[in-house]
Amino acid sequence: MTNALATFSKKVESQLVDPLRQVNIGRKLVYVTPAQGFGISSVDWGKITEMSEGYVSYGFTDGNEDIIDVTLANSKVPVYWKDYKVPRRMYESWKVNGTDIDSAAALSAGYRQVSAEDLAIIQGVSNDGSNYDINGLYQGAGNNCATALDFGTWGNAIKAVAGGKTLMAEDGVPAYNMPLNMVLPATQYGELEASVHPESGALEMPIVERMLNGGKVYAAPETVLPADGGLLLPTPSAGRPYFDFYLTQNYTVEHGFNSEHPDTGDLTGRVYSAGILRIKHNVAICKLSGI
Amino acid sequence: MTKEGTVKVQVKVSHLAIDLIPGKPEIYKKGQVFECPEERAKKLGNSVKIV
Repeated sequence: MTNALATFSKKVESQLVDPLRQVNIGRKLVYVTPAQGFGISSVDWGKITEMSEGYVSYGFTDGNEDIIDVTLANSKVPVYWKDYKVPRRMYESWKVNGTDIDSAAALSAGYRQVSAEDLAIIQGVSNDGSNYDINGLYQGAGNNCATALDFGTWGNAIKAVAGGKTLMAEDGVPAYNMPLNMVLPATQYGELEASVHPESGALEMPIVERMLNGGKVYAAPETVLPADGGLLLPTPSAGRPYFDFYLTQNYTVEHGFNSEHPDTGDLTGRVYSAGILRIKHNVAICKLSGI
Repeated sequence: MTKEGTVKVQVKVSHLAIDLIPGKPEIYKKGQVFECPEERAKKLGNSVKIV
């Protein structure tokens, strides 16, 4: 019985992983560590609070020791999950005849689970919806370009990216030489995509993409990013020293029986993952508010 | 004393660029205090603290 359930779960899981990867936005923005194990419930990491200047000389001298100011942070690792039901007869039919599994319910639950994970990576983890226990990229950004630049007007997206890069460069982040990603709420993404210069007919999107040095523009649902806020941040490979997603459990599916009706009751399914965003140097993330 | 409808805010992020006068953005550094319309201050979220 247990083996059949485990096989069933693996089968559903295999149908889920690719679609979930496609819809997930958070994990496309940050370096994701290999899964460390579900048993890890908290993690320590160093936050860089101040980075001093480098030195140039014709030889190494004593007395120039410099310490990067680091504070130790500790956080519990949240779990992102959603439960669903599988009709018992479908499961029995799969067991006897190998009938194709209709994983629609599991997939639907998986999308909800991914949405919860995206929210945690992009906004943060909040119990009351306003105070954040763990900051995501938006809440934890160390720079904020809050100039009123409505993306409905041609040129404002260019100005927002330039403004964000200036702030990051002020903090020693090589924003002009590293690939950057920009994340926009769906409305602003649509405005940028449709932004055409009224006289020359030049599209604004390709100019913005060139300014990102090889990075991309992503659209996030407005449940994840507020309607007038965007993000500018290094791509996962370039941003790894600044922030990452410490994954403890990758997308996993499990199924169990209701003990009241062990032979006829529906199966209870659960899709879950676990991990935490670690922001080590927040000045590499620039919030674009007022866009 | 602040003007009616404005509040004093202290910058909590490393750098904050804001155009209190349209088209004239200014950059404030962490710890700096400036006067800002209350509505605008609310939109700045945790980037500032009202003092």
